[in-house]
Amino acid sequence: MIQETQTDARLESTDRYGEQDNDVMKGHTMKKVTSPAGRRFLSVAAVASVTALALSACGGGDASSSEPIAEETGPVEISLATPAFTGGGAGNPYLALIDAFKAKNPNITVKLVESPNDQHGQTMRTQLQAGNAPDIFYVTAGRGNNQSFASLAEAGYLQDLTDQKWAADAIPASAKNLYYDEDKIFAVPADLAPITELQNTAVLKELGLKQATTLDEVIAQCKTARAAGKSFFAVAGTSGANTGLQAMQLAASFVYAKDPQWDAKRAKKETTFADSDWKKVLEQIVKFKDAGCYQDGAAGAGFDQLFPSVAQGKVAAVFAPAGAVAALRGQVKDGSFDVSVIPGEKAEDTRLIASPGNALAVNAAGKHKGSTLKFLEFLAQPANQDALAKANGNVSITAAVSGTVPAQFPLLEPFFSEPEKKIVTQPNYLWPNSGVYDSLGTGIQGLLTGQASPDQVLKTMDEQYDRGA
Amino acid sequence: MTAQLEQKAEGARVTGRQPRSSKQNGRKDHRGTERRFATWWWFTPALLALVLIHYAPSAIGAFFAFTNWKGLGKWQFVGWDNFAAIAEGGPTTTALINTFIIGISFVVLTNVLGLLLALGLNRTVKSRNVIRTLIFAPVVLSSLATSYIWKFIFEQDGPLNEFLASIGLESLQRTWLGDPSTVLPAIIIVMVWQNVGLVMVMYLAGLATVSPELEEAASLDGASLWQRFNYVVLPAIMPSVVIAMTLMLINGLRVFDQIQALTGGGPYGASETLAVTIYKETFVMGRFGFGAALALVMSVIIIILTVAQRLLLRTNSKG
Repeated sequence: MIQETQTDARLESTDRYGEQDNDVMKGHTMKKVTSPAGRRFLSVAAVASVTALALSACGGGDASSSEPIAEETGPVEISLATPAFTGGGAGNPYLALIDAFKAKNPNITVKLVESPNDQHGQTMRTQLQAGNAPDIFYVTAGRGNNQSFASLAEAGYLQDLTDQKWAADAIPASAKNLYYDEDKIFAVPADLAPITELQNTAVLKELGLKQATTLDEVIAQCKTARAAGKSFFAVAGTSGANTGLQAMQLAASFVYAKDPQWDAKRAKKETTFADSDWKKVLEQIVKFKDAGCYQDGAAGAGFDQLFPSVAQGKVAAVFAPAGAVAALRGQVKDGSFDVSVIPGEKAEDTRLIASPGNALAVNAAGKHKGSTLKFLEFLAQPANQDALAKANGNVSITAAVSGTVPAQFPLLEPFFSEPEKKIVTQPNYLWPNSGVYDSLGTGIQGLLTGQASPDQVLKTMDEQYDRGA
Repeated sequence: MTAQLEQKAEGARVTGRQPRSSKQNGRKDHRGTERRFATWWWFTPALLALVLIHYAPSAIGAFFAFTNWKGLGKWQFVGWDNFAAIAEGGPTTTALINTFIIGISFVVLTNVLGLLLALGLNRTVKSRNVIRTLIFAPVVLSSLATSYIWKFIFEQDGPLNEFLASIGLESLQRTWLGDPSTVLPAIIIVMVWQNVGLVMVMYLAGLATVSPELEEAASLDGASLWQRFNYVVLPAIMPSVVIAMTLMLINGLRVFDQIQALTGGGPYGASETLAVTIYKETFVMGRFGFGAALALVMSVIIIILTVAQRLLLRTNSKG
């Protein structure tokens, strides 16, 4: 079964590269060169061609991807690459699963390789082109950032998993738009990280504040916090990734509560960022700034300042993936932390962003694909997905699909109990390139300093979007 | 007497050549070929390494400036489209202006301060070796590491603002790296702090060649301090001036580490230089073709400015 699949993949791969070669050669004709100068040129050209060929060998999905996949019975070592885990505890959550896999498959050793969080995407791209990428590695869904799998799949670097039934089974129906690329599967989701407001509940209690249900209440709470010499939110103005999280949370209620299919419309050019409720999102951020919701110096603050400020109780909340609360709870033993969702303009508009965005993909040029697929199949089993989600503080896909409320996030109960109505897909996974989200994050820094207006930021986002994949 | 010595020396030289010229032509050619072969033989590995490691990747990079490559997969030739997009302006224009502001400020400040420090620490000051070492120390530190320390200093609740508060200057407190009006001066301060020691050493080396007797003679002739500097010291250290200004101009125009670590080009592009834009376009936006074109433009700008500066300094030193 596996072997047949791979043969098809090889044929397809050959066609793809054959087509590429034709494209490259179009318009080029060979001429007989007889003069000494011409011969010299030809020699130089020949050397250059050899160099170019040598270099191009590192520049695309290579032929080894088409070799048949065989069951490996002897000792095998495969490598798994993930972003560095900073959550403390027992270390990288994959370690426990690697041990469990080794117990069932003694001949296969999985070596874990970590790369810095913000460099993981680029590291994988470089290694894939150089031909020394790990056998299996962390990717994100869609194509909206430089860790996304879609562009890697298009370039032929990822193993086609379409015919692996377990891969199709691991993708929830609600997330098909994030994983199916022209009816093919190239990555398997691992778990789900809700985008939340991470709160220091002791600070909220000290300020006498309860969970806000509307944005007006949030503004009022910001003023209360200011009067007490604290800030309600801390944002890292220099980190587009962080400011973008806040904007996406606001967009969940402003944009996606009214129109869950907004991104599909944007893809069809039926709407734009500038002409939509995304403008309200950015205007709300300006309102927060004017109300003193953010800490002093928010525009110049770095990501490294966020968690200390909430841990020390200088601010009430930061915007972060829900899993981060596990690290805070682990590191600040006497603290009191929880995750919540920033409310909508009206309470009923409040939505949670949660998508199974964390995923794994297999290197098409890996030397031990049989063992690697066996490992991925092991990880895709519901019990192992549950164990992984528990270890890294995220939500298990099985729990999300079944509507089970994650015990560690009690305040998210209203959303997980009605997932179809109250949970929306993380928007940037559906955007065509990483430039859109980067423009959003950078633009918010411009809003905080007063250098940019919401219209300017939205215009830049539209320009980036229209550049396409 | 002098003429005789020259004649003898010439004779010795001619005599010295005599045996070689008496060799048979074929043998001489053979040795010559051997010598030439030996020269090329030893030179080739270095040349090959230079071409493969330096020029070939640069040439390939330049080639991609004419494509729409996204860093992965297929690409197409797009001719001059990337350069046309650069010429359209927008963020690239801001980056170009910032590059010039930083580059020129950096050259001027490092050279003026470096020269003043070198003059001050040249001869008379006690413990000058210790002070020179302290001023030179930042040069040997990692620019990335020191930038992160400076980032901490410039933070909202960092040491600089705390110091201002402690001396009653709260009105001057600000988010130094998050304020568009202070971000460039803050970056320039960090760059100058790190490099002024290097320039000082270059000028100290130049000043070591200035004869104290010459300065004393000028002083006895009634030359003022400025006249002694202008007519005696400066002409003597002109080679150091040329080297220091050229290196600092190149370093200032291509600065990346400090800006990436301090601000990442922010706030909202206020400190983005060409090098930072190249990084963002290439590795964040995935526009390798555009990034390569921008890199080519930056290289050309640096070459033009460096050559212009060398010509200007050469003209001045002759004048």
